[in-house]
Amino acid sequence: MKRTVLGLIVPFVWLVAAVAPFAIAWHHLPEPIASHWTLFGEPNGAMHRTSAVALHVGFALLAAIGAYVVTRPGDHPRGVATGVGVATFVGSLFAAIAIAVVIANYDAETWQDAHQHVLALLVAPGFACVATVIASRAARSLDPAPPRIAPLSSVGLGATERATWVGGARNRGFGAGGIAALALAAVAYALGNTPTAITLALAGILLVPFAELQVRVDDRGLAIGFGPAAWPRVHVALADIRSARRLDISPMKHGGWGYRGSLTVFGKAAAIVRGGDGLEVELDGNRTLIVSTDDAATAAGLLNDLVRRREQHRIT
Amino acid sequence: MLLRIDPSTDEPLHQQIAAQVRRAIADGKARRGDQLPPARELAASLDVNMHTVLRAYTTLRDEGLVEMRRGRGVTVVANDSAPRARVVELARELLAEARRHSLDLRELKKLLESLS
Repeated sequence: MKRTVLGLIVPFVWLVAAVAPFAIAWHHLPEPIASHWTLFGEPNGAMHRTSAVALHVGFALLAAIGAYVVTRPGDHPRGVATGVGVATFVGSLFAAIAIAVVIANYDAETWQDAHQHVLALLVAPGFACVATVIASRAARSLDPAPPRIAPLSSVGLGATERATWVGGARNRGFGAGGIAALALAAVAYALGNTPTAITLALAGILLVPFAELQVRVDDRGLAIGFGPAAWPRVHVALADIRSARRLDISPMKHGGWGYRGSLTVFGKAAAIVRGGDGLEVELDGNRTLIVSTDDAATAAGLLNDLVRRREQHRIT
Repeated sequence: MLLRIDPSTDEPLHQQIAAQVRRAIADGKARRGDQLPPARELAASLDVNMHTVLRAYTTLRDEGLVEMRRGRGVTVVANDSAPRARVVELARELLAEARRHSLDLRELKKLLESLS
């Protein structure tokens, strides 16, 4: 029920609140309408009525789609709260601005006559902030945090056994895009368009490392290599790892594709090349590392076994 | 692909490594075109001599399951390898079991012929 309210009903209200003022007051608005004001409420910018509708409704619609996507079942609780917060801020802000813009322009002869109430400049963002806090608080309770007491997975590693797991993940789209960008860069350079060549080459260089991830687990820890050459490489020592589990990654929840965050600065990082199967590793100091990889369940099982064995060795 | 070996058993380490790769191919965990870890890296991961890994890779190459190219590493080539790798693996197990029961190769062959 709450999911439907936060993901469908509330965003729909923003959408209606952004459309309705224009629809009701359409024939009372000047063309163009005032769309920007000084701090004292004097109009200093204008745009066509249709552009104003497209702008406000467009953002409200984006926010509504965002809210719907992040509130779908099975999502990470903190992700839902942040996502709903951002969507609510954008949706409510543009709805409030749409109302304020229409009120200021109502029955004005020309856009220069459309004075804005000084308070509106404070009320609209203030209202958006309050709505954001309420919505993200409500969203926080949507998914109870997964119980950590669930037994950790295992591959049943014997006391005398040695093991390694190698795997990874691929994104053919990034690979093809990166190679295409590099090829186009060469063409642009040959044609003498150096700035375009440099931009395309940079795009290619940025895309290629995220076309492929190579992941290795052994008793030294976890190693992640980027790109076909497995370079650059990130290594996490086994001593820093507490546990691991399989995770269903949705890139939008973790800030998109590529290497996001920082273990040192934010205590959270993610190496994501595609959605789906992934590995979530809990590290010392409440840090988390998320990695896209096929067969993450086996990787998690082996990591847990190696960590457990290391702990036992430390005790004995 | 999970590769595990147990140095405390009698089975030579290179055979254990080869068996693990065969099993990975049979289970579909390693597919045609997949790269196996470079020998040096796998040796470091499993804490064995690099020549042990190379010996395992050579065996797999001779069985037609992988291809070894200088500078390009070791690639899984077996096309419909899954059943083949499985049969090779079972045959090895059968051979080992037969030896344990003092059954020589000729007798084993006879046994297989009588069954087919």
